[in-house]
Amino acid sequence: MNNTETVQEHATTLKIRTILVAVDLFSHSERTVIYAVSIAKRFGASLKLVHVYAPPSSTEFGSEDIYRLLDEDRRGAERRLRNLTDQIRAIYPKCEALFTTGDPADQVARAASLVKADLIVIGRHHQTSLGRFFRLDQAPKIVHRVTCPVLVWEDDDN
Amino acid sequence: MNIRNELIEQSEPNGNSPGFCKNILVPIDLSKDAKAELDTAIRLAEHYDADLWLLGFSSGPAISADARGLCNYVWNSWSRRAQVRLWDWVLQARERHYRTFPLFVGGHYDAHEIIRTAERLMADMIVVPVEESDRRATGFEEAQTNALLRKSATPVFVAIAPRHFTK
Repeated sequence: MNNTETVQEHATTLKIRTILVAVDLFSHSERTVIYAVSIAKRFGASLKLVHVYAPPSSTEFGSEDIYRLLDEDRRGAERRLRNLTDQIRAIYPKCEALFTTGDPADQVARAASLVKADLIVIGRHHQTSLGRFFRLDQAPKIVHRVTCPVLVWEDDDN
Repeated sequence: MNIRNELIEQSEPNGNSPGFCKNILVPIDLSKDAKAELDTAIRLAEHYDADLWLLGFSSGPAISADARGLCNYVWNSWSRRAQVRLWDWVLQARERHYRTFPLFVGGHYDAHEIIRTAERLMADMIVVPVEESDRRATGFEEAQTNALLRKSATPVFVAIAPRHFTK
């Protein structure tokens, strides 16, 4: 390590123009979005809400009914994301929605590079021991896949 | 939840919303380069007009606690060198953000210590680095970062590369 090198002399202002907010559309997602809106207001940034629909992997040999239910579930998620975006847009117009399907960490990383995000905001939850055991939190996975800064915050009420 | 009401509440300057950040904590492994996270933290501190706290970690020499009396010189020398390195970072940071302060911890980079310090400090944000490639990170460090991301009640800002910030 060369500790004597000076800290890089960049401009001291911080400009964040695009914030990508990863939402899972549970009730605590609203808190994450509100948190992100506050940051966006502070920086004058635009918001992109991304939801990744992850279909269950055990549906390869499913019947037609299962596929129909999954399709309804996917459309429901899309509708909830649209509703959330509309609510936010009423207060903060610079807000758009992105809906994708696949692995959440991979898709969030892809979306971040697509929209050229300057910051990704992720809400952390699944604080039960079972959730921790199964590593349900996506935050650490996302952090290691993206190339822009990530802000992880606890969105649990407790 | 009424999103409109929540947003109106947050926009009021009560000092608790993300629009108002008073203390930023930056854990630094003193055996490594901390330029990336420090640069990001300085920019954040400047933007929020916040106090910047550099928490220095440095692994001590392999001397058991019982033998420290006998190896006092080695121990003190290590401690002093580590604190000098921390002050070096602090003084560099002060050139850009004057309200930068040191906090010294004489042990391994540890997520629990960072969380405890953030709580004591009532930090509004912790700025940590992540290696762009996992090749440079040891499993232990990565585990500490992940533990911090999973357990910290304080928001964690993972500074990846300053190039993403518009100059």
